[in-house]
Amino acid sequence: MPPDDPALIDAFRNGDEYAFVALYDRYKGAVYGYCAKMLLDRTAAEDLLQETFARAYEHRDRLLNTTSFKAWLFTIARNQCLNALRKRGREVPFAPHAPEPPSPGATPFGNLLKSEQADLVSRTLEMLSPSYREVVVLREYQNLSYDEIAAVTKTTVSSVKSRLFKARRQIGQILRPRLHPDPPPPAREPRPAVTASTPTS
Amino acid sequence: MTDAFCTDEAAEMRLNEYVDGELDHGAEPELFAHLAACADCRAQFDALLAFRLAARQEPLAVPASADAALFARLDDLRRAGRRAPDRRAERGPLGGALRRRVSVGAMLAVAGLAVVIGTVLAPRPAATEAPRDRVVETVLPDGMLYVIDPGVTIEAPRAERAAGR
Ligand SMILES: [Zn+2]
Repeated sequence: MPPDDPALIDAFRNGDEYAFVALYDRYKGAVYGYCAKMLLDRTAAEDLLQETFARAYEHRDRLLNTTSFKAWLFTIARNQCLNALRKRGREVPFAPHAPEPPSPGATPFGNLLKSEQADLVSRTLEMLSPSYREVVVLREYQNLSYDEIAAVTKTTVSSVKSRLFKARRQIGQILRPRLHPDPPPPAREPRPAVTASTPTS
Repeated sequence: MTDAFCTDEAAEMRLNEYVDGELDHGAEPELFAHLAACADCRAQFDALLAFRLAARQEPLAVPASADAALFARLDDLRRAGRRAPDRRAERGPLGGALRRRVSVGAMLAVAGLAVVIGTVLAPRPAATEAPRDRVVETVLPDGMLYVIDPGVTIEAPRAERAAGR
């Protein structure tokens, strides 16, 4: 993603439509990807992409300086995503935190097709609470720095690091048994199956 | 291979920072020494890299329908008149303008046209001050496009409107 041109953002703040289109072209993929991974639903992500840029356009006079455009845009997208997740949470309970137990003899990660790996990653994200999921998505998919994630999520860098740490332990719990084609782990107490809904993504 | 997590959380935190490009270079030797000795952290390192690789190779292209939906939405916003009416840039149908992004050549041609029309319509030097907000409607082969020049706004009809004539 090229660095923002302050003049472009200034033009956008002053109502220049071509500047708005240029910024839309530059960031639509990132915002869409963020929403798609937060909601794990591409159709809903398309709606939120529209909502995010419509709001950015409507409230462009609230962008106070030209250096924080990306964080400002992701903040809008984040609010949309959290609202959508809250709304969805009222309808369908969230996936519980407990990760799916690895099934013995599951195909090793490296032997999966790319699409299967992506699917496993999506299901792993689904296991994370929104507060953990968002730091992972902003870091892994959007490549935001700790400072940028802190700005978007309105928190501190140490909170970002702490949430990433805990989120990654959950990721590790799910992926690590799939990474190495060692003999299946010894039999464990059966755990209740996770009844997570799997939205299309 | 271990499924346990490192008991040295500070070391695992350094591993996270390293993966994220946020670890001070000065702290790297300590991390590498720890990795050499800690199978738990090596396993976690592998998992983080596998996750990242899978995440970043997943295609996430924006559907083409998204652009049209946004620009139609912005048209609606403008019609609803939620914005202050004093922005000259908002005179034309915004969504229409955005949907039909024209080539640079067409832009230059219209810009030239704007100058010509601006010159033709400009008040004589002796006249009172130039009007600040004039609209000139013109038909262009490209369809809708408008250009705002100091004192002159040119609006071409939207393609649908032109087609309906
Ligand atoms: Zn360790």
